[in-house]
Amino acid sequence: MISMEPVLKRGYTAWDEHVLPLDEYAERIGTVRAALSESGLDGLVVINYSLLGAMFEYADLAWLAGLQSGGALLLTHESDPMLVSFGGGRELSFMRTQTWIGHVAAGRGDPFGVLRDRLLAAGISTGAIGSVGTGGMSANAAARLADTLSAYELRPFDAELRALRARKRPRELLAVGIAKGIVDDAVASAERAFADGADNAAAMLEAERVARAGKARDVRVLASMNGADLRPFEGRLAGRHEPLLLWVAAQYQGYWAEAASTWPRPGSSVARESVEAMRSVLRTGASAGDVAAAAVAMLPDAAVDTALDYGLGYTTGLALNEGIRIRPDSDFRLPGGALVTLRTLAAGHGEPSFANALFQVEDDEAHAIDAQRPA
Amino acid sequence: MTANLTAADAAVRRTSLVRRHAAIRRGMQRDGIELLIAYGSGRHAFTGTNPAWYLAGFKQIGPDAAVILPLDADPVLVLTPRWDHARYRERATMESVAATPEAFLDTVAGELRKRALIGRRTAVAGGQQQPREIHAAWPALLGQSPQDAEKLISDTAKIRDEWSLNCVRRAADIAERGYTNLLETARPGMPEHLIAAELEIFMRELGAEDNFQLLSASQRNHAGHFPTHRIVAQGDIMLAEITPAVEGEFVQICRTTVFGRPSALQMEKFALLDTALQAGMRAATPGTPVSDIVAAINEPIAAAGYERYTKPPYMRTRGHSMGLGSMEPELAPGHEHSMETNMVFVMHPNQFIPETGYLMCGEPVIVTADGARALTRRMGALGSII
Repeated sequence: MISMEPVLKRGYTAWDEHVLPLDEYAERIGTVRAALSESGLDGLVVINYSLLGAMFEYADLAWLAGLQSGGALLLTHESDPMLVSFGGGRELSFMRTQTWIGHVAAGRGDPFGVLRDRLLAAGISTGAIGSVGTGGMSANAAARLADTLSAYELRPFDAELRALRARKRPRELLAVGIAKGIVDDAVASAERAFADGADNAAAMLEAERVARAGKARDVRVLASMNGADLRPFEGRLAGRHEPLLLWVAAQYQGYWAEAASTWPRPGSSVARESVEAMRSVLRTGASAGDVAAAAVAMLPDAAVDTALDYGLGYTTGLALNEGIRIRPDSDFRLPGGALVTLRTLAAGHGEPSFANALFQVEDDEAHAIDAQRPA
Repeated sequence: MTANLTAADAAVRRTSLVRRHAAIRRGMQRDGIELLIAYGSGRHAFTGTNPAWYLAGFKQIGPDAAVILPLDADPVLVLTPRWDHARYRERATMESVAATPEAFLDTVAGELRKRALIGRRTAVAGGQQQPREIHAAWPALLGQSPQDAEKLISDTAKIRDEWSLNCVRRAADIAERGYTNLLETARPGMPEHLIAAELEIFMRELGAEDNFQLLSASQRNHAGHFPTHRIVAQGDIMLAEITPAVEGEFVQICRTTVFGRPSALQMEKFALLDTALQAGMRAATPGTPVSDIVAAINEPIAAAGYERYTKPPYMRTRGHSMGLGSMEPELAPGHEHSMETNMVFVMHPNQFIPETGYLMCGEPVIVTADGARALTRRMGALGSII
C-alpha cells in the first residue's frame, strides 16, 4: 500500500538483541561471504544513501548490519566488517547502539575514501567488489563512489543479496510477528474507540498512539473519511462516517506488518473472501499473477479497478513492499519462505469492505503469521 | 474540505499559489524558459525540496508528482496514485490528472503532447530527492536536455508568502503547546519512546500532519537522538527537537528540560547558548551573510572558552530552513547566501558543552528589517519537570 512518507522515522529506536542477537548476524554474514566466494568477489560494499532517520530503502544494509539508517558497509572475506557514516561524527555514538558492528567510522566528507583505505589496509588493492544500493544514490554520489573505487571492478550484487534474504529466517519471523502484534493492537484499539463514538480521525490517532506506544519505529495509518477512499491524517476532520475502513502498518526492528479492517464488521465481506481466495493458491512457485487472478475472480466487476488501484499485496519484510507485487500482469514466481501480505479493498458495489492477511509461502500451502508481543 | 482548510485558509492558499506561479513565470521569462516541470518525490524530507508541493500547495501521497507550468497557459498537476485524486480535487487550484506510479512519466508525456508543449524550451526542478531514474528520463521524454530550475523555485520559496506564513504560525503554535503538554505529562520512570509518542499524538490532535522529532534524555548527552527504551530518571536532561508540520510547512523548536531542579551550572551554560541565540537573531538582518550570523552566534560561546566546541562533531549547524520549498538558509560555514526579509528558519546554537553535555536552544524565526524575530510566543527557557 502506498502511504504518506513521514519526514523522519522517529519512533522506538533501540536494537532488540533478544529478537536479533549477534549470532543471527554472524550467520547472515557467513551466508553472504560464501556467496561472494562463489561469485569471485573480494568484498562487498552495501550503501544506503539516506540520512539518519530518513531511512529509505534500508533493507539490504539492515539485513547485514542491523542499522536502518544511512551508511556504507564494507565486508571482506577476512576482516571484520566496517560501517561508515555519511556524517561528521556527532551521530556515531548513537549509531553504535543500533548495530552489532564494532568498527563504525565517520565519513567526514569522504566516506568512500574511508572504504577504499580499509580495502587497502586489508590487502585488497585491486579485483572485483560487489556493490549493493548504488541505484538509490544520486548521480553525483554514484560517480564519486565509482571514481574513488576506480581501482576495483564494481559488480552489482543487489539481486544476489535480495535472493539470499528472500526466505525469512526464524528470527525474522519473530520480528515480523511483533510488528503484526503492534498493528493488530492498534487496529483493535481504534475499532474500540470508533465503536465508542470516536470520529474517523480520532480512530486514526488512536491507532497511531497504540502503535507508537507499542514500540513501532515507523507507523503509517490511512482511513476512510467520508467515502471508501483512504486518506492520510491531515488534521482533525469532524464527523463520523461509517463504515470505517482502516489500514495500519508499522515496523519493529525494521520489519513490517500491516493490518486492514472494516468497522462495523460486515456479515459477509467481499474483501475477506477475496483475500481467502488468494491464500488458497499461495505457495512456493505460484505466480503473483495467478494469485491476483484468484482475488479478481471473487470481486464484482465494479470493485475490480479500485482493488487493483490500492493493490492486492506484495512480498514484505524489511520493506513494506519487498518487490514482488500481487497483480494480474505479474509473471514473478513467489520464492519459498517469502512473506506475503494479501489485501483487498472492495468498493463500488454496495457496502465497502477491507481486509488483509499475512502469510509465509511454503511448498504445500501458505502459513499464517501469528502476532507476537515484544518482551 | 479538510479541517486544515477553512474557507478563509482556502482563499489565502489560492491567492498565494497564483502569486507563486506568477513569480516563477517572471523568472522563466527572464531565463528564456517556456515550460517548467516542477517534480516532487513523495519522500517529503525537509532535508530535500519538493518543487511540485510548492507549486501545487499539495503534499501527494504517491512516489511522484509534477506541476507542468507553461509560460503562457494554465498549469496542470500530475499526481500519483490514482486513488489519491479525490483528496486533491477537494482543494484543487489547477487542472489535475492522476496516474499509477508506473504510468507517471507516460502521463506527463501525454499531457505535454496534448498541450503541444513538447519542443518548448524547458526547465525541470527535480528537488533534491528526485530518483535517478526520473532524472535520467527527462531528456528523452522532452526531446532536449532541460535546464535546471531548482534555484528558480528555491529562490522564490525561501521568501515566505501569506499562505506559507499562515501554516508556519499554526505549526509554531502547535509546537509550543506540544512542549507545554510534555512538561505536564513526562515523568521520571517513563521510557523515552512513550514520552515521544504522547507528544506526537498530542500535536496530531492539534492538526500537525507530520513531525521531525528527536527526543532523548540522559544525565549527560552527547547529542540528541531518536527515542529509545531508556527509562527517564530524576536528574536527566531531556533534549527535544519538536518540529510539527502543517500543510508541509515545518516549524522547529529546540528545548532542553531537566527532570528535577536545574543546577546553577546547567542554568549558566544554557544561558550562554541563549545569549548566542539572541546574538544571532540580532545579526540576522536583510543582506547579512550567513557566515556573519554564524560568527555572531559563536562569539559569546568562544569568549566563554568553548571555541573548539563551536565546530563538528560538537555541533552540526547553527540553523537551517525547514520548508519543502528551499534549502536556504543554512547557517553553517561554507554557505554563502545572505538573509532576506521574510525568510523563515530555525536558529539553534545546539551543542555539546563539556561540563553539562549537549544542550538544545533554538527558535523558529522570521527575518525582519530589525533582525530575526521569534515565531513563538515565548522563547525557550531551560525547562524543568519537578
